[in-house]
Amino acid sequence: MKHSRGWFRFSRARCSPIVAALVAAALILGGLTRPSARAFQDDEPQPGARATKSGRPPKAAKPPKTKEKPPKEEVKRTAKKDAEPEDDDSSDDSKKLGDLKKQQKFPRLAEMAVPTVAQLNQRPVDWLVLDSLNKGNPEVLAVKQVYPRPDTLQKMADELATLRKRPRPATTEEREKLDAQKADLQKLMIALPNDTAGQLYEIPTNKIDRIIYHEDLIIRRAGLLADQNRFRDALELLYPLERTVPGWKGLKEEARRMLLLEARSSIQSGDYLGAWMSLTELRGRDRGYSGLQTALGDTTDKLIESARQSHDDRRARHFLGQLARIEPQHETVAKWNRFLHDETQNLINTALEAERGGNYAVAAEKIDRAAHIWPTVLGLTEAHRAICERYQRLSVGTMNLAGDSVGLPYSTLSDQRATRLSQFDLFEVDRVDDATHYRSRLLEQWEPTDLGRRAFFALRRTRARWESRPNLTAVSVMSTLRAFIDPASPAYDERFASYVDGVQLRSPLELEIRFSHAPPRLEPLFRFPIYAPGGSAAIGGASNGSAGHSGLGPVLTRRFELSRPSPDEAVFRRVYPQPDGLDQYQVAEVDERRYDSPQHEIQALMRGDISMLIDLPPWAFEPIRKDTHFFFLDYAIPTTHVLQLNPQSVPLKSRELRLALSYAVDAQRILSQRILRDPESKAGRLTTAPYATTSYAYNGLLPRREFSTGMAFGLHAAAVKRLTTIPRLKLLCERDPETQSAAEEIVAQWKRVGIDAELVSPPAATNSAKANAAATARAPLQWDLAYRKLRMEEPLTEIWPFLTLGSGARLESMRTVPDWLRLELLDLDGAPDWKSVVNRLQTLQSHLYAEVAYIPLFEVDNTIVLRKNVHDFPAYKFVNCYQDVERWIVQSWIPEDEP
Amino acid sequence: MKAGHTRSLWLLISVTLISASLIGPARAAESAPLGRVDYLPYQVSVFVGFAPDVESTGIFRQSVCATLRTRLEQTFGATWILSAGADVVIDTRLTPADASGLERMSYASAAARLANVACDKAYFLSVSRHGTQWQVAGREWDRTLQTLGAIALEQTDERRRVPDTALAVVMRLFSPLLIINDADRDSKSALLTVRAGSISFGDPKFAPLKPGDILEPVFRFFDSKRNLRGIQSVPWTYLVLSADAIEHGQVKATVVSSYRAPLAANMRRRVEAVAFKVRRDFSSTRLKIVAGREPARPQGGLFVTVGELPPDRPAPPPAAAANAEKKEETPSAPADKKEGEAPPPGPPVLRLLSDRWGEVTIPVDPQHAIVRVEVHSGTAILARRPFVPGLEAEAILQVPDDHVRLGAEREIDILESQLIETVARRGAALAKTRAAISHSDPVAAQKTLADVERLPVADNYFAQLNEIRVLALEEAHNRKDRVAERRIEDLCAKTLQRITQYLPDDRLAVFKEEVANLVKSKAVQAAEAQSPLRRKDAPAPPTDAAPLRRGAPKKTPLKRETHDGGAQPAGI
Repeated sequence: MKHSRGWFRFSRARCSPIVAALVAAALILGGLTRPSARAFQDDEPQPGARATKSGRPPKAAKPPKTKEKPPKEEVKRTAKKDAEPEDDDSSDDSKKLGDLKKQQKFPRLAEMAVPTVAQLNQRPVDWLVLDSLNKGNPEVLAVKQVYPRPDTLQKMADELATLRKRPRPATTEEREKLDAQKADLQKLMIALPNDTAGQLYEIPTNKIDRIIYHEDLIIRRAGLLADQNRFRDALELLYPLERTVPGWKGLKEEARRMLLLEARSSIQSGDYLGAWMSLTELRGRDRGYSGLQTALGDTTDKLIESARQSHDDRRARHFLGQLARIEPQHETVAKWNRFLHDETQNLINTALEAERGGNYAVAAEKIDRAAHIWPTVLGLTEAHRAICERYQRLSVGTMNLAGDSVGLPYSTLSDQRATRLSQFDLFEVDRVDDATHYRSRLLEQWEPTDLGRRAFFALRRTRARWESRPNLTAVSVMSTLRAFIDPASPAYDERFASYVDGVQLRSPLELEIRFSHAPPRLEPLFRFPIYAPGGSAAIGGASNGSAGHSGLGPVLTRRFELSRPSPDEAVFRRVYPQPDGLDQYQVAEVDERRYDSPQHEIQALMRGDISMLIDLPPWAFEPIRKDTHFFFLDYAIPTTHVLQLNPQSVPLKSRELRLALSYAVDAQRILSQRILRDPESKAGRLTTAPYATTSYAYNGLLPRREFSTGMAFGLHAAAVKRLTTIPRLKLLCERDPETQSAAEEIVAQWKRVGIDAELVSPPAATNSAKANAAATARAPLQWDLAYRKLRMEEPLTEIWPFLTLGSGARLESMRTVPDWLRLELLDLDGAPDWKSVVNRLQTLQSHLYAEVAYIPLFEVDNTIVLRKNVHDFPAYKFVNCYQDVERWIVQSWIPEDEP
Repeated sequence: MKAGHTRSLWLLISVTLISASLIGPARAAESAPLGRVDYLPYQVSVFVGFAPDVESTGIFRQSVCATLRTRLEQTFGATWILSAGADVVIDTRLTPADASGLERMSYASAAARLANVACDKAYFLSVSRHGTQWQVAGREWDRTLQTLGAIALEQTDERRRVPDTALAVVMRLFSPLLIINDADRDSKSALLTVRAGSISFGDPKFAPLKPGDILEPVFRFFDSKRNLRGIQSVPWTYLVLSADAIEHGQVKATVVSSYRAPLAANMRRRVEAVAFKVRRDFSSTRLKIVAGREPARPQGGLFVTVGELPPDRPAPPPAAAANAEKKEETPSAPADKKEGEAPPPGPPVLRLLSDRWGEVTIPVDPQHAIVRVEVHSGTAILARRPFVPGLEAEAILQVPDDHVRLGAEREIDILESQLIETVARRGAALAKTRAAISHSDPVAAQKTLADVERLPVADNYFAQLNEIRVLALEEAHNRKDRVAERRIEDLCAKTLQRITQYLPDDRLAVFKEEVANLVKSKAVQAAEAQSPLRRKDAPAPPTDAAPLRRGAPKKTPLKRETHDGGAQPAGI
C-alpha cells in the first residue's frame, strides 16, 4: 500500500515524457548493476534455507552507501532514478531477488524449525518472511539481525513517509540527498548469517511481508521448552531478554505464563517450595495475574501441612508468615491463623488439664508444642511458665547418642555420658584440678582408721529435695561389696578383692570395711553403683556360669531412666520425681537430640529447639562465642584422642610395626586441620598419654615422637622383613563425624608410607536392643586399632581397663603384654601411698609409650554451650556434662523471634 | 638239759607273747609276723555315726553295722583284722553325725578316741538323709602316716542299700600302705612291698592297687629305740605303679620328682620310707605360687604352663635345668633362643596366669595323672615341678623371687626399643646422605651427616646398659641370688651384641670419608672453574663421584659398601 501510495504521488507530480525517457535510460544502466544482484547467490546454505545447486561464492561486498561524491553521470542517473516511479525500481530489485531465488531455494515458513538454545545463543538470526502469493506458507530468508528493531518495516515506512512529507529541497544537492535517503528507506540491508566476509544485501521492503525477530524466536523456543516442562531453561532464556528488551511484545506475558506453569508443575510433582518460589516471583511481577492467588493459597497450604506433618511448627509459621507479609488479607493466612491459634489454645488447655492431673511430663510436652506452634497466643506465657517450672526439661543437642555404635569393644563418650546420667556411684568425681576430688551422695562419713586398714562408712539418713536417689541402708551396700569380693560371684572384682578383706555391718546405716592392705586413696576404689542383691548376671551382662552364688541384681543408685522415643532422640527422666508442693523445682527430664553436623546443632540452639550443646567442636562455636544469650563452660578434663591397639592383633605384636604406625601419623596436622581447623591449634595440644596433660599422672618430661615419614618407612620395612606379610590393618572408628574425619586422614597418612589400612565402622544402632545384640553376635567387629576419644578422670584406676578393653582390672586380661609390664601394673595397685602412685603412674606412662602400647595423638579443650535460662549448675569446671543436673534449674523460655 | 632248754624256750616264748600282749594295742601293728610286711594284715576299726532321723531307728543302725561288718569281711578277707570290741560300732560321739561333723574332725581328736583301740586304720562313717537320698560319708584315719584323709561321699536312694553304700565308701577310702625297699637313682624306679600284699582279699575282684596308680612317699624317722620321731613328706615326688603284677607282695614303681634322688638319700636304718596310694578327689587344685618364706609373697601375674611329662625323662631339678640353660646359651645355639628355656618335652596343654594372690587353678587331666608345671617369669623359668592335680584342694609352690632380674629385663626391653628407633632414624638419615652424595650435593650430605652424628651412638647405649647391669647385679648380689646374677649377665651380653651389631661406628666413618671426597672434588672443580688459565674444554677430573661421567658406575662405592653392611633398618 505504501509503495502504491508513493507511486501514485510520484506519478501525479512527475509524469512527463522526459522523465519516462530518463527512467528508461536508468533501467538500461540498471541492467549493468548485475553484480549487486549476484550478492544473493550465496554458495553456503542459509539458516533455514535449502541448499542451492550452484556453488559459486558471492561477489565482493558492495558498499551500501558511499560517502564519496558520485561521478557526474551517476548523479544524473540517480536523479533520473529518483524521478522515476517506484514500481520501476521495485521491478528492478525483484529481478535481483529472482536471481537469488534461482541460486537458492528459500524455505517455506512451515518448514522452518525454531532454533535450539545453543543456536540462539551462538548465532542470533531474524527470519524475513517474504511477500508471496502463498500467504499461508510464505518463503523465509534467515538473516543476521536487522535494524531498527522491532517493527523494522513500519519504522522504515514511517520514516519514508516523514521524508516524503518534507518540502522539496531547494538545491539539487539536497534533493539528491533526500532521494538517496528515500531509496535507502525502501531497502533493507541484510547480511547472511554464515557469511563471514560480511557481504551486505539489499532486500526491497515491499518484498518482505514481515520479520520474525531473534527475540521472537527466543520466546518461541522458551515456549517449546515450557511445553517440555523445562521451565528453568525456558526462564533462563527469557531473563536476559527481560533485561535487554523488557518491553518486547509478548515477553512479559510469556514469562508470567511460564512462572505460573512452572508453579503448577512443581505442585504436581510435590515440590511446593519450588512452586512457592515461582509464585512469589510471579506475584512480584503481577499481583493480579489470573490464578496466582489461588495457587499461592494452595501452595502455602501444602507447605504448612507438610511442615506440620514433620512436627516442624517453626517452619509452618515461617511459610504462613511469608504469605502474610506479601498478602496479609489472603484467605489462607486467615484460615491458618485461626487454625493454629485454635490448636495452640487447645494444647494450652490440654496441658493445663494434664498438669492439674499431675501428669507433668505430658503437660510440659503439650505446652512446649503450643509455644512452638503459636507463641503469641494470649495466656501462653503464663501457662508455659507454670508448667515448665514445675516440670523442667533440659533439651540437649549432640552428634552422638548412647549406643549409636553397635558392637564396639569399648564404651564411647556418649555411652559413658548416658551411664553417668542413668546411675551414680558410691563415690563420684566432683572436681579435677591438680588432684581428683570426690564426693558421695550416699555416704555422710567415710573415715579411714587403723592407719588406713579399716574404714567406717556412715550412710546419709535423708536426701536433699532435689536429689533423685533412693534412701539405702548399709545392707545394700554391704551385699554389693561382698559380691565384689566373693570369688565365686559373677560380680567378683579382682582388684577390689585384693584390697578389701571383709565387710561388716555395724548398724543399719553404718558398716566397716577391712582392708588387706591400706589403699593410697579410698574413694577411687569405690567408684561403682550399688546393686540390689540377687541375680546371676555379672556386671555388663556377662556371666561366668558359677552356680550357687548369687550375683548382683538391678542397680539401686539410679538417677535418670532412659527411653528412646525415636532413633534420634534419647529421653532421660528422673527415677524419683520431685514431690508436689515444693517452692522450687529442678530439672526433671533431659532430652538428647541428635544432629548430623555442628552447624545444625547451632541452628537448633539459635532457634530455641535446644538449650545446651555438649559436644560442639571448638571451631564450630566460635561464631556464637560473643553471643550474650549463652554460657560457655569448659570441661575440667580435655578430650584425649588416642589410637588404641587391639591386644589380640597378631601383626601389632611387632614393635617395629607399632613404631612405624606411630611415626607415620602427623598428629599436629590432623589436630589443626581436621579437629580444630585452626592453624595455631589454640584449643588443643599434642600428648603422650591417654589421659589429660593436666593430670597428676602425666609425665611432662617425656618427649614425643616427631612425625617422620622416613622413620615410618624404614620401620615398616623392618616389620615387613620380620613378619613376611602384614595383612591390611583395620582401624575401628565410632560413628562420629569428627572421629571419622581424623581417622580417614590417619589411614591416608599410613598409606603414604606403605602401610595398608582401612577404616572399619560399627553398624548403626537400631531401636531394638535385641537386634543390635544379634547383629553384633552375627558379625563381630574385626579390628587392629581403634580411634578412641577419652576423658580419663582417675588414671590410677582407669588405665588398666583402658589397656585391656575390659571393665575391670583382671590379670587374666593382661596376657598379651610383657611380664614386666603386667607386674608393673600390678605394682601400681600395691602402691602404699599417693606419692608412690604418682611416681609409678608417670614411670608407667614412659614405659607404655616406649613399648608403643597405644599411640597418643592430642587432646582438645571442649566446651559446653548453655542458654542463660539455665541456672544453678556447678560453679566450677564440669567433669561430665550432666554434673549435678538434678540441681539445675531451667527457667521457662519461649523463642519469640519470627522464623 | 634238752628238756630244760625246751622249757626255757617255751617260757621265753610265753614271756614274749605275754609281754607282747601287754605292750598295748597301739603298737600291735608295728611288728610284722615273720618280718614280712606283705603278710601283715591291717587292724581296722569302723565307726558309723547316724544322723537323727525317723527312719534311722536303733534296729536299722544295728542292722547296718552288722551287715557292713559282714560285707567288709567278705571283701577284705584276711587282709583286715577288725579290732576286737571296735570292729564296726555305732559312733555316738560324732556331732553332727553327717559330713560336716566329719569335716570338723582332726587327726589328734580321732587319735584320742582311738587311744585304747588296737588298730592301724580306722574309718569314721556317717549316715544321714538328705531329702529322699541317704548319704554316707567317711574319712580314713591312718596311724602309720598320722593322717586323717579327705572325705568321701556316696549316696543311695534305698534305705536297704545303706550298708553296701558304706562299703563302697570304705573301699574308696582304703589306701594301701607300701614300704619302699629300694630306689634306684639312675633308673628312677623303686621296689615297694605292699602291706598284706601276699594275702588275698576276700573279694578276688577287689584290687586297691592298679598299674598307673600314684603313690606319695613319706619318711618315718625313728629313734634308737625304734620310737617314731617324726614323719616327713617328700615334696614334688610321686611314685607311679608300673604295669607289673604284684609278686610276693612286691611291686615296682617309677619315681617322678623334681629332685635328682628324692628317696635314695634317706634310705637309712632309722628311716623308713613308706608310700601310700593317693586319691584324686578334687576336680582341680588351686596352686598358689609364693616367693620367700617370712612372709611368703604371692607371685601374681606369672605364667604357669601345665604340660605332659616326658615319657622317659622325669622333670629335671632346677639345678639341672640351669645347666641345660647354660648349654643352650653357647654360641652355637640359635641367637633367638630364649634364656632359661629348656627344650619343651611336650606341647603345653595349658597356659595359665596366676592371679593377684599368685593362684592358678589346675584342672584334673584325665589323660595324664601327673603333669609338668612350669612357672615362667619373663624369659626365665622359675620352677618346673611334677604335679598331680586333684589330690588336694590347694597346694603351695615356692619359687625364687625374680623381681630383680625382671626389672633388668624391663629396662633392657625399653633400651632395645630406643635402640630400634635410633637405628631407624640413623638409617633414614644415612639414606638421605646417600641420596645427597649421589646428587653430588656436599652441603646436604654434610648436613644430614651432622644429623646422624647428633644421634646417640653405641657408646651411649653401652653406658646405659652398663648402668642397668651394675644396678641389677648389685641388688641380686645383696640378695645372694646367683641365678639371677647369671641371668642378668646373659641378658646384658645379648643386648650388648645387638648394640654392636646395629650401631657400628665404621659405617659412619665410611660415609664421612665419602662426603669428604665429594667436598674435595667439588673444591677442585670450583678452583679450576675460577682459574684464569683454565681451558674451556678441560676435561673433568676422573673421579668416581662424578655423576655425569661417561661409564661411571651406577652405584657409588659407598653404596656398594653399605649394601653389604646393611645400614638398613630392616635388619633390626
